[in-house]
Amino acid sequence: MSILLSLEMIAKYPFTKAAKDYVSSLRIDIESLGSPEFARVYERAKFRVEEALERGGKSYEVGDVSVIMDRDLEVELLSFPLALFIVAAIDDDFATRRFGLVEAIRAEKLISKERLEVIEVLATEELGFNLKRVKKKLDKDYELAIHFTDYLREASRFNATEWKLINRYLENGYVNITQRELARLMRSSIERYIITRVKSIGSVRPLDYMREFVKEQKDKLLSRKYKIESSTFGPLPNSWPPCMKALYQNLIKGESLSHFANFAFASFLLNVGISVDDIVNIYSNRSDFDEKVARYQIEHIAGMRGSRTKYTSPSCSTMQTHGLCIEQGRLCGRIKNPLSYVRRFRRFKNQQ
Amino acid sequence: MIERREFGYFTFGQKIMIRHVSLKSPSELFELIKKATPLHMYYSAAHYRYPQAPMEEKVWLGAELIFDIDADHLNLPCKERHDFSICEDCRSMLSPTSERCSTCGSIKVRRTDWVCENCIEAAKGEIHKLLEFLEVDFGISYSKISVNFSGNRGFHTVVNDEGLFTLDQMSRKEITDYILGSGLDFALYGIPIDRRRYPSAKFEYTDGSWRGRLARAAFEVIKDLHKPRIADRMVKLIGNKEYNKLLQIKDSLLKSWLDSPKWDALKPSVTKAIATLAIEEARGMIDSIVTTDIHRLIRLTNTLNGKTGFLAKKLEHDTLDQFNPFTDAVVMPDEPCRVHVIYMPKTRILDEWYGPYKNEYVKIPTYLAVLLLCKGIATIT
Repeated sequence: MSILLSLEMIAKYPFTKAAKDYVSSLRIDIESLGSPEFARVYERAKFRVEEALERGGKSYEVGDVSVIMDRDLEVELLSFPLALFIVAAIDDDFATRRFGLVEAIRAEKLISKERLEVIEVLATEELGFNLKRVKKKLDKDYELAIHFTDYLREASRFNATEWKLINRYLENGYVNITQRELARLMRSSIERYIITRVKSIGSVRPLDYMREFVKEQKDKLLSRKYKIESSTFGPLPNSWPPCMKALYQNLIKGESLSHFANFAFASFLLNVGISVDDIVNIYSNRSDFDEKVARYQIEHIAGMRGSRTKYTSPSCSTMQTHGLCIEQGRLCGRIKNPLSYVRRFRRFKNQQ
Repeated sequence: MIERREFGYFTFGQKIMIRHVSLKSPSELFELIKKATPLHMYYSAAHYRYPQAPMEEKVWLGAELIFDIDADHLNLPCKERHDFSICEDCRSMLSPTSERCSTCGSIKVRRTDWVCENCIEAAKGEIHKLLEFLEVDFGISYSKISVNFSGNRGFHTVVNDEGLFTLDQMSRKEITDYILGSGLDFALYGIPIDRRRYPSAKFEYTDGSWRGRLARAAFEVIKDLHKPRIADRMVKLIGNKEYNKLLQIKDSLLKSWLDSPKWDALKPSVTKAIATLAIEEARGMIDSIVTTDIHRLIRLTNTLNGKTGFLAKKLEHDTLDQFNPFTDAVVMPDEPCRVHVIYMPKTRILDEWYGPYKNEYVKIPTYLAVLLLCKGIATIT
C-alpha cells in the first residue's frame, strides 16, 4: 500500500486523500472538537490560523520543527480540518488565500526533507503530476522530469527567469527539475487545493467555542483594510485607461499578477505621480506580500535604486502581447501608451 | 464536438462578423454555408458550454493549441518587390508605402499584399521548425497535429490533444515564448555574454531543447558568416571592424567548434551576437497573439478564403513540401472571364504565366479573376 498511510505521514500532509479518509473514519464532528478533551486540537488550529494571518508563515519559513508539527500526531492531524472550518467562518478572501499560502509553505518545508520516493508518491498520487525519472547532467544533476503541462500550470505564474520554459531543458514533453524545484511546484498546487477546500465549506457561522477567536481575527482584518483604503487615493480614478483599472481591481481583490503586469502597473502609477508609499500599500493585499521586497522593486522602477533608470509604462502594443490590453484598445481611441490616456483625460478636463 | 464550438462568418459586402453561432451537427453547418454563402467562415478553437451566448457567459471548457504562421510577418525581401497600393478613387497603382494618391491626391489608399512562391516557401520553412518544436521538444505525436494552408499567405497548425486542452493563457504564452526564442537567458545557459564569471557549461550538438538547438544554430551562423543574410545582421550588432576580425578567424573558429561549442573563445560581445543570431535562425516565427488567445476564431478548414478565392486546404504531412497554392489550392472554374485589372504582377497559376497587367481589360480564367477581384485590384466589366 501507499507510503502515505502512516499517522506520521497524514499528520504531515493533512490535505491528502488518505488523511481526509482517516479523519472521517474517526467520526468526530467540528462541534465536539470544542470539548475540553480536544483543547489541544483547538489550540493548535488557532495557531495555524494565526500563523497564516499574523505572521504570514514566518515561523514555518525558518524551518523550526517544533512549530511545524505538534508532537502529538493526532492533535496535529485533527487541527487541520478545524483550522479550515475556522478560516471559512472568518469568511474573508484575503484570509482564505493567506491560509492556503502558509499551509502550502509548511508542506513545502516538510516535503523538501523527504526521500525522493515519498515525494514522487505525493506528487503523482495526490497532486496528479505526471513525473518520470531521468538522468541528465546539465548545470545540475537532474533525476526528475515533469510533463510540461503540469510544469506550466504552476510555473507560468512564477516570475524568476529560471522558471521560464525557454530556460529549461524540455525534451519529449518533459521538463527536467530538481527535487527542490518539484517541492516548489507542489507548494503552488497544494495552495490552490487548500483554498478550494476552504471555499467548498462555504460561509458558515462560527460555533460557540470559536466565536470570540473568529471575531478577533475579523476585527484585525478590518483594521488592516481600513489602513489600506484611507492611505491610498480612494475610489478608482476615472482618468486611468481600462487596462490599468483592470489591474488595480485584480490587485485589490488580492489576485497575484504576472511579473510583467506588476511592472506595467507600478511603472504606470509612478508616472502619474503616485508615491512609493501608496503603491506599496496597494500591493499589501497580495497573499504573499512582503513589504521589504515590494518597496525595493517599486523603488527600482522609480529609478531610486540599481541602474537608476526611471521606467515609463509599457506601450499599448506590449500590453497587447502580454494579453493585458482590454478589448484591443476599442475604449481608448488611438493611443500608443496607456499614459497618453491620462494626459488626454486631464487636458479634456482642463478645457471644460 | 461541433456543438461545443462557436462559429462566425462574414457575408459579401458586410463589414461586421456574424458571431456566436452554434451548430448541432455537420449537416447544420452545410445548410448554413449554403444559405449564407459566407465570404469567410470561422470556427472557435475553443469549446464552450454555451457557444451561442455572449463572450462572458459562454463558459470556456478548453481550446486546441493553435499556431499561425504568416509570410507577412517574416520580413521577406520579396515583399518590397511585389506589394503595392492602389487609390480607391481613381484606381491608380501606387508604391506600397504611399499614403496619398500621386494622381488624384486622394487619401483613400489601400495596400495590397501579394504573395509569391518565395513567400510560401519561407512560411513552409517556419512550419517545419514549428513541427520540430512540437514533436521533439513538446513530445506531441504527429497524429495530433494538423497543418492547413490559410488560403492566403500562410499556414495554420492545430494541435488537438486532450492533455493540452485546458492550458490557460499564461501557459500558452510560455509555449509561445519558447517557440519564438523569447526571454532566453544566456547567463542561465552558461554562455558568457559579459565579463562576469560563469560556471563553464558543457554544450553538445546532440543535446535536446534550446540547448542543442542554440549550439547547432550558432555553428551554422559561424559557418555562414560570409553570406549576406548573416553578414548584414552581424555588422549591425558588432560593427564592421569586429565583423571583419571574426571573418578572418572563421576557419580556425569552426575547427575549434567541431566537437562542441566553445562559447568562451571569443569576446563576450561577439559571443552575444552569435548567440542572438542563432536564436533568430532557430526560432519558429509564430504569431504570439493567435496562440495566446484562448477564444480565437480561426478559418474553417477546406473553405474558401474570401481574400483570394483559394481553398484553405488541409495538408497531409507528406504533401506539405510540394504544396503550392497556385496549383493545389485553386478550386474555382477555369471559364474565361473579362475583367479590368488595375495592376497585377507577373504571376504563375496552374502552371501558366499571366501578366504583368496594368490598367487593361483582359480575358483570364475565373480562378485568376476571382483572386484579383477578392484582392480588390480588378473590376468586372
